[in-house]
Amino acid sequence: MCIGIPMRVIETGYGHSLCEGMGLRRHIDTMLVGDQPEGTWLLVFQSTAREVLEPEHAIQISDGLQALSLMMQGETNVDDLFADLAGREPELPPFLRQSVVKE
Amino acid sequence: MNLEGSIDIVITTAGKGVSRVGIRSERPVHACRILQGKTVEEALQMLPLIFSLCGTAQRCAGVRACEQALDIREDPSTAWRRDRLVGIETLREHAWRVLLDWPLWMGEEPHRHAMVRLVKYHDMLDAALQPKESFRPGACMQSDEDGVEEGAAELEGVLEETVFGMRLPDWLALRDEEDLGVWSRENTTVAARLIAEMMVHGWAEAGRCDVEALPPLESAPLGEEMMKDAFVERPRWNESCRETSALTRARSPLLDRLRSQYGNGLLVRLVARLTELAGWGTARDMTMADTPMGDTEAPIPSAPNSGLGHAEAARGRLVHQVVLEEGEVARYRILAPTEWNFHSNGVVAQALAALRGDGDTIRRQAELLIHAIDPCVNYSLDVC
Repeated sequence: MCIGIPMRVIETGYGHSLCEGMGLRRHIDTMLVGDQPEGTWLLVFQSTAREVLEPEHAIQISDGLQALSLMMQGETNVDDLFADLAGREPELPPFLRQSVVKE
Repeated sequence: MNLEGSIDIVITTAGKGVSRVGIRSERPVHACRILQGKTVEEALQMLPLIFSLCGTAQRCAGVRACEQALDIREDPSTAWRRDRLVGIETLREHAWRVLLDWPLWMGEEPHRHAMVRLVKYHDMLDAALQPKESFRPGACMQSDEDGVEEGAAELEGVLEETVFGMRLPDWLALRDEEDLGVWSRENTTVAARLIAEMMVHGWAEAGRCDVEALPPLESAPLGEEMMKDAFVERPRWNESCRETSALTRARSPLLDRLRSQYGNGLLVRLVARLTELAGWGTARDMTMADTPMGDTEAPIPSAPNSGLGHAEAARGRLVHQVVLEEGEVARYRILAPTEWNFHSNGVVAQALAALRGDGDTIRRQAELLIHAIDPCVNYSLDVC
């Protein structure tokens, strides 16, 4: 389902780095993103780093996936993992915001 | 819990053929339920966080579904821009396979430097197309070519140099198997050499089977079907398994000729990926953008406050369905191409069942076929 995992570099290697994230620890191919210092967040798919992530974005993805994991285990109260989204300004144009305001 | 999902494939051989194919999928097809109870804004912000790999296609299908549910007509210039954004994501995914995976089958190192260059220009072009604004509900994008031409030209250059060894329009003008053979012998790119190997080994028709393409889904029954969990888990259309992929949507004189000779065999699948790669690589002008590949008709929603949205993602047609109640998502469903293609009786199963040869040949052809249809998750293959 196109789910990439944010993982943080804990040990930099040449072309590969030991990374951890979402409860996983793996050796990740980093040839596409270059050797990254420890603490760098990477978006990982099929054990390959696809891009470097800003820490805030990595945490948003991690929180989203954590919420997903909890939901799949039957947990229903996961809104605190999306608190930053709930506080954002709505992106609908004004004339549509009125039509979908919850009564 | 394995959020990434996986697919396990077991091929049982008998003599010079295959007696049984087992496909077991453990993909989180209902992950989109995380969006239920959220506002439209929240759901659209969450989509690319959860589905970060094909995030552009997911966002595109999602915003289109929400716009239908809100009775918003998609602006044509915005539709063009969204299709272009999904198209270059598809280009990036195809290039990933051709530049990084195809060399491995040829016993070579992945062409990482070429891929790094391509990703750089992909990101440049993606930024120029303004995805954040393009995927807002009700977006009305002004025509703005700043940065688009430069990024597209650079992308085209990388593809000409590293994949096709010639101008992309010239490659797309190849007419038949003879032209393809000449190209594969006269060029030294990994793509040319892999195609040459398929032709030399006589693998053009490997995995040919009778699964038909998924037809346009503009009718109301799609909305009704997507209300059923079983449908999004194991979809069938008109009681048949269907395929949706680069093969079923790409068009060129060469592909049409190869299809007539080899159906959906292995060579045709590899050429289809190259055709899409070349097609999106030359999409620099409105003419190309006016002829998007794949289904262009917006599906008709089945009920009030509900919407269907689709995008031609890298691996096939992606459909989102949303039902709104009092401004919140009451129901969200995603029908992904992998569920069609990797159905236990679907095109991958039937293609693998059609393989012939010794065990090593069957394994190699199976790997190429699975890769060509591309499950978007880790998979295991056991040939016994």
